Amino acid sequence: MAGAYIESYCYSEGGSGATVALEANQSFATDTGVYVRPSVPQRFTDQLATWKTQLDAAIPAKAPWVCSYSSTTKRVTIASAGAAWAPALTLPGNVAVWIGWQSYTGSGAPHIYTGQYVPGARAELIGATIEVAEDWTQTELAQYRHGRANAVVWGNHQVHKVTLHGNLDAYESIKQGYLQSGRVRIYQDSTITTAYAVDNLGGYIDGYVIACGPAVEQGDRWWSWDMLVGVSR
Amino acid sequence: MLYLTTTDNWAFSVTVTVGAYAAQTYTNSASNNNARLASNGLLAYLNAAGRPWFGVVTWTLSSARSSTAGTRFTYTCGNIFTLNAGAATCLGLAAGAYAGAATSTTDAAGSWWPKVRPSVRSYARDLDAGDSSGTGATRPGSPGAALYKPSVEVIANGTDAARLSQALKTAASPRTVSVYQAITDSWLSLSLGEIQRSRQGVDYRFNLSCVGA
Repeated sequence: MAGAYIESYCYSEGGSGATVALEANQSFATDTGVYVRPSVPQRFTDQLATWKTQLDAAIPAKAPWVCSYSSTTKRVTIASAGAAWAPALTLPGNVAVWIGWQSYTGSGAPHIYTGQYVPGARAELIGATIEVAEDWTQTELAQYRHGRANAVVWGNHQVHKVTLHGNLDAYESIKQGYLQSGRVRIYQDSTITTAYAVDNLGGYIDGYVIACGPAVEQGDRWWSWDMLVGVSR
Repeated sequence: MLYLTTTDNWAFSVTVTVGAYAAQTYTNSASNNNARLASNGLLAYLNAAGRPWFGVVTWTLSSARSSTAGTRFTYTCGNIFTLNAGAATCLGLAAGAYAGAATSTTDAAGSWWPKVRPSVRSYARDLDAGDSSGTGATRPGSPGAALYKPSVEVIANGTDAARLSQALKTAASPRTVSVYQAITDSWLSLSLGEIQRSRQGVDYRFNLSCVGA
């Protein structure tokens, strides 16, 4: 097992290429007034790919753009082609925290930006323990005369009990909150890129955080978080 | 093993052709709404007197636990035969041409076959406690019509536990289950209420709240 990690899904109000900044973690703008954003909520790395695609289309003169994340350095890089033109990026709302940058609106910066911090939207983990799915159902077992009974059930999701284990970098990411709420995807093993199933218990789970306990310090620079993640069925 | 009633279309039809005999189509009754009932219904149909191969070809049915803790059925007749995809969803029988036997390629709908046989105990009528006085006691209900409340427990490994959750995804409401009781060599049809799961080391213990008629 290697390379466990967790990613969050970004917020989106829909629409792409709009010219207004949204006070959310979904978009950023260049100094040319181009805003890029996914039209639907997207997982962090997919969102970076969408930004790149939209920048390539909106500012083709500086394509190919780079919007990438390194799991080794745990930093986000955004760059345009050509050193002669340095885009000044505007990061509305919490985008800076989301991708691990200081909020920056200035000019004259180099054309390659690499985050100063770990992103709040992704954390590399020491490990992730994901319990086998449990059916989450409300049940009413009604009993009637003459020995009759009916078990009425209703529900729409399964739950996984999850424990994340992370070092200081993971702590810095997770404490931002984006990985403790909303929709997340957790890979138990980065080499298993398929979803959890009865014949693939080591696969990733993709669901909504129902509950998350506080960070528990397990030792020297080692924290753990207990979570309950619901997956639509 | 255990078979849940599911929301699948149990009124499925499957067409069977044996050798040069005319094709025959079995339509499962919607009331045969779990894999055990439906698989037996198909077997009875295949061996019924109305089939053109009656008296010449005899079908048998067996079942086995899959690697994903579900049930795979095997229909055997010793002849070349074909199936269409009618029973694929409910019984896991894929369309194709078979030489003597056909085995499910996917787990039968709603089936659960844990490694350790379910423990089904105390299938007996159970009356609630009632009022008492110095001259006697009154218990609610009628002894002859009181509910059967068996204890159903299962020790399961991780795959077993995952398979049960998967099967419960499509469980029908009201939820019923057919459970095999080994000691009486019989199947019990029960209403399945709350399911409690607890860790037992690397395994799980399931307590199924069941009430039967």
